[in-house]
Amino acid sequence: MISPTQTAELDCYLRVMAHVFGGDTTHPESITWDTVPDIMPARLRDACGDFADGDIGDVCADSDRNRRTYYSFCLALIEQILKQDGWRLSRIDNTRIEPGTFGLSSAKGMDRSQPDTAVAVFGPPGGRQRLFFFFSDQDPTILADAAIKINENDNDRFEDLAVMITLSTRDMQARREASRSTAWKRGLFMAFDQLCERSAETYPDLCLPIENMFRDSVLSKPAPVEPARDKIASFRARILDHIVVGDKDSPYRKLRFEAPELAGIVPLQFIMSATRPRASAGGVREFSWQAFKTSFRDAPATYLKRPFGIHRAFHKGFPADYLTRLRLPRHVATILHPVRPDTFEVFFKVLPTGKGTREMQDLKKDMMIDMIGPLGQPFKLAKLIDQDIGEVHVIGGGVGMAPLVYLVQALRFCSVPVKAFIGIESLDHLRYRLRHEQHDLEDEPLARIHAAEGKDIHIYVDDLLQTGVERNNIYVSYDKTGDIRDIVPPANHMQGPISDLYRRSLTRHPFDKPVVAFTCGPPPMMQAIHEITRHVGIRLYVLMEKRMACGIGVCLSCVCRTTSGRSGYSRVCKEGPVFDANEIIWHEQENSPL
Amino acid sequence: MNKKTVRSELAVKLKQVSLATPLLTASGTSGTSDEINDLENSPQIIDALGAFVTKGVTLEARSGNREMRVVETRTGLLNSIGLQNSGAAVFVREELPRLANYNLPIIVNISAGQVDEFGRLSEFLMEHDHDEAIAGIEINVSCPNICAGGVAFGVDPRTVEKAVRAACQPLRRDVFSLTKMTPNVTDISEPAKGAIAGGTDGLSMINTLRGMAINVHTGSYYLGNKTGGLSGPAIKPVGIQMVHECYRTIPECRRGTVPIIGIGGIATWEDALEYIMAGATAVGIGTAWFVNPNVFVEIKTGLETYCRKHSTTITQKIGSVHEI
Repeated sequence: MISPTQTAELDCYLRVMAHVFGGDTTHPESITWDTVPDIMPARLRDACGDFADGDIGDVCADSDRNRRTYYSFCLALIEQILKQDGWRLSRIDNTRIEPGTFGLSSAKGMDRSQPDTAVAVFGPPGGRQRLFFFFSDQDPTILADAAIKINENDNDRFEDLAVMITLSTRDMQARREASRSTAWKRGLFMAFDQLCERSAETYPDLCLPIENMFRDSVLSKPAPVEPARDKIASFRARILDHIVVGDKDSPYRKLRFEAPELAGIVPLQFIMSATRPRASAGGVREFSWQAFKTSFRDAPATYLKRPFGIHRAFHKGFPADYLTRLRLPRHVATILHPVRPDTFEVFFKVLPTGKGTREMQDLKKDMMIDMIGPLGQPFKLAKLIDQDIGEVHVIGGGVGMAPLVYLVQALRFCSVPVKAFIGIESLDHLRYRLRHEQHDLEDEPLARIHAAEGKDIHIYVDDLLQTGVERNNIYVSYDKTGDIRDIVPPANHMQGPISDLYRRSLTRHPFDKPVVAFTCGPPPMMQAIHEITRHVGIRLYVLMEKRMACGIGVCLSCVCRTTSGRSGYSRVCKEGPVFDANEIIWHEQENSPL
Repeated sequence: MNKKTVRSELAVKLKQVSLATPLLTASGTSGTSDEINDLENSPQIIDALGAFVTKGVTLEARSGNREMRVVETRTGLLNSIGLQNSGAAVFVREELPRLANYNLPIIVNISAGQVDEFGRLSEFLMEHDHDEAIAGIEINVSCPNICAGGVAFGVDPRTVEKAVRAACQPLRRDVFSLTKMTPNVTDISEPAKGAIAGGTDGLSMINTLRGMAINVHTGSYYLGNKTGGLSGPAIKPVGIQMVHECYRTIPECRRGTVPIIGIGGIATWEDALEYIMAGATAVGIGTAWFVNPNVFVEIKTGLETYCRKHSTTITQKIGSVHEI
């Protein structure tokens, strides 16, 4: 026999499911025992044999109650996650939640100065920052008004932020897309499926049934659930700027481009980009007799796309340096999303032997370039952040630092402390200056801060400062010395290999919480870093770079010797590009130039 | 397996199997599993394909050649992957069931170092293909990146004949066979005749041309394996000539009883049609698809437009240049 408590509990889960998968449009009678046992908490599963199919539909017939139960469920999960960071519920709109379900604690001390549309407000005790949670199925005009009010009151301080909870990741993407030009652009998003996944890792008891609900009963049917990773898109990106970084002979280049298709790219994933605008429909440059006659040598030089990591991603509505002010609770931040980023940067070095990068020197503003992405396994940052790590180290050699900067951007969003170690050939390669006559300074996020003061910009260093990394946590090593004044504190730089600087910094700063490190650069450098981390017990992830042809896992060109890979090789583009350093068979890595 | 309706100007027949379009993936360029499903435009790609040809499968797993495995040359791609694959057992257990998701005829490319190994591999695949997912096999007697006792396998017509006979013997009756021919010969029609004598149902040509690239800045070879196979637009005229030659000189090809799959440097619909006019019934596309993920869709659309404009069909265009 099923007890009254069990009935009530069962009722709650059914209502959540009815709201998420039925909504207001389809009648919840479609929920039957064929699907229900999958979502049931184990303790309820055996006890509910007496229910008939029709009873379930009756339980969920009240769509308004279903919605309120769903709100309660979401907020209960959020409350659980935020509790870990010491945040608590400071205000709740009781009329919008279903009382007595999922143990949502009721708030005390309602703050009357806040907009009335808020469903729930969370904040740290004594802290000034607050998150206002709304649901995507609330009246859109009320949502927009609330977001505007919050933004206006906040005045760019990033102390109060509106969070919209959507029914699914796909739903969130659609709303983020639509929000780019509307009132919500400064707000954050959170998807219900991600919330469940996130909570299930932390609170298996509360969330396991919901997890299963997604996995078993829903994935087999058409449902609003997006697969975890974005599909690989092929698209044309518009070049926004091409910046020479370093002195006039410097081989370093920064390209900024617009590509809304890449909005789902996760740090450390990569793209493949053509090296020049496409000439013919077939993807192969049409033979041009003129070009053939004038310059046979240069006519059909490249064919394949080249792989690049993302150096930075920019979100419209958020100033480039917003992370210096934002202090999000770490645990919930992994599932918070700003509006979709649509502008990206890659940073690369023109190789004297490289046909592709040499061609890319000719790319100019407004050219349209073929790209595919996002590529590579998305690295699970949420899991990493869960481990209560003390700090993250990123160690980059040359252009290898570029993709790590985007990683830092994501880590800083989750308030993780970061130390960055930059290895560069010459200090002169870091410095650049932007001129009005060459660049659109309105568009350049770094220029707005520096050009006004007539100062030089330093690649990496200024990017990292913008993400909220403190200057004394940035280290620089170099082969060729130069003017390092004002870049980093004297103790943070040295001439010599980056691994020496890294080792030196570790002896100086012992750590008591676990430390995780990421490195990218030439294989011998990464191997040297691995030697260090292995001895001091730091978990190291390496970002491998290989020559690639397809980027999607079919050509087997970019393989890398690993202990985990089938046949002794892993595909960098598919299983990678991030590997646990212990998986890499270092003595079998080739150090040939890419 | 193929649930598409095949009633268009693009439909062609390979033995008893109807293909919705004459476009195939060229072996080695589309994996052995369902990687294409990770692409946003995968439904369109699969819709544009007539069949899926896997990367080479061998009896035992092979780790492949050492790095660097690929280098770009002018309008070409030089590779020496070395048949890296997980072996036939893993293929039938894990990868083949996933290929069924494509809902396309699956053609498994098989490779071996010896004649009897072809037989054993073919037998193994038939024994373990419980769902009858395999529509055809492609017998690779021509990979330039593995050594067969120092002699390239596909050069000698009598060895080709024996290998093909060994591979075809265990096949179910509804499974057709293709033989992938090497262009690294003086006269390709000789080994092609050997393959036909061995019982092949069709010919795939061409595999890559042997090539080499030296990095003058380091003074060393680009490829870890020193030599590799050249693909891409650079080799297209070679492929066209070889398809033309087989169609011209081999009566079975001319009559259509042994269809030819034209492969080598196809990147546009015009390239595909060129092969068809030279005598190919269908075409394989490989390297171009690394450059342009939409290439299959673009070629399909191009061929459709061409056929409608000229009120013709692909089948009518097979070998049409020979009528002149």
